[in-house]
Amino acid sequence: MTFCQQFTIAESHYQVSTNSQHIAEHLQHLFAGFQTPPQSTPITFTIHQNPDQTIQVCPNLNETPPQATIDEFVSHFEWQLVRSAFDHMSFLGIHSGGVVYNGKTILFPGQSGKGKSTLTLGCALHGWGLLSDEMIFIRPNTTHAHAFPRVLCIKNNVELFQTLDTHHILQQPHIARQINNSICVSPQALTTIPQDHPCPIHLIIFPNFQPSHPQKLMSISPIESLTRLLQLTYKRTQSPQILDTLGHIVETVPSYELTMNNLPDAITEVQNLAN
Amino acid sequence: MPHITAISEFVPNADIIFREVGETFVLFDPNKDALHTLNTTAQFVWEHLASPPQTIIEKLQSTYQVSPEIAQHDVMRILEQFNTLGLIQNKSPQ
Repeated sequence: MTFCQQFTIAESHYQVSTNSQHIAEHLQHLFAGFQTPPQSTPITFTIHQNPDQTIQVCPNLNETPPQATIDEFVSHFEWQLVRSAFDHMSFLGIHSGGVVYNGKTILFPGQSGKGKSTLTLGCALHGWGLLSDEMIFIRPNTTHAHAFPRVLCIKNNVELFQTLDTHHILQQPHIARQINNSICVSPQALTTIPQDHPCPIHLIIFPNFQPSHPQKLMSISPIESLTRLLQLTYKRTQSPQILDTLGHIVETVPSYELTMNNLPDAITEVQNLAN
Repeated sequence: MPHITAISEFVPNADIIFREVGETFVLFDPNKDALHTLNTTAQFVWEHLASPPQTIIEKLQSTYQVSPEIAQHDVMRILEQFNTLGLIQNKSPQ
């Protein structure tokens, strides 16, 4: 084996092994931000690269395509791990970015394309603590946020991020690499918040990237915020606990929508709000 | 779908979750992923679903000092909406 790593996603422990150096490099990149698990039995995945350069995962990731290219595999495998983790843990997962600024936890919930990854990475390049650009875990009994420090992928506006990259993180080949037409940045290079560190939520900002609209910050009601969060929450069950957890969050945390047309101004707006 | 009359009796659909969020009462239907916001009258009707519609009408009339016509109209309309949205079901199986 050229690669064998244990890591955790929230309460679930995983062990991934592969006999391919090529896959190992991608997986090390993908898992860089996750913590090593405590002593417990992990869920094990073994990955093989076939002679035709496609990838096979054994034995129990049923929904992973049996044959995939490395680019297809990395994004799909990550999502499958999250799905697998949800089956074993008590957290709620919200489709959201998240950062910590001056000790204050700020969530950027939103569907793909709304700007949450852009805003999150922009803040992270400014040195703010990184929870995730994609998924935030919420522990229902505390309503605290927990990190999901996955690899961050820049799909568009690479030049914009390069102007914010004062520490030249994006120029380091072992930190930022090209995958599937995106530049993927290892969370290791950023100020990541440990996944077991509970973060009380101070602010919820729904990003709304609209390049042709003026920047606008609008307060939204707890009910509107709740409606949006419910649509962005994974592992929906019929348990009233989900509504209670999200309901408590929107009652106690102010929510805003930020229509943004450029990243530096949006970061300044978030910073002013947090102050 | 059951027809609503003043003597029909309804119960909340078992999956529906009723909660106060901030100063607003909501019904969440996890099967449809739908959140419904209740106004004061709808909240009143939901909280009195154990009674038949005629009783709810009389209670609404006395609580809010509204005319019988308005109370009847509002209660029946809200029950129709609850029914259409699948939030309630007939107490006795048809």
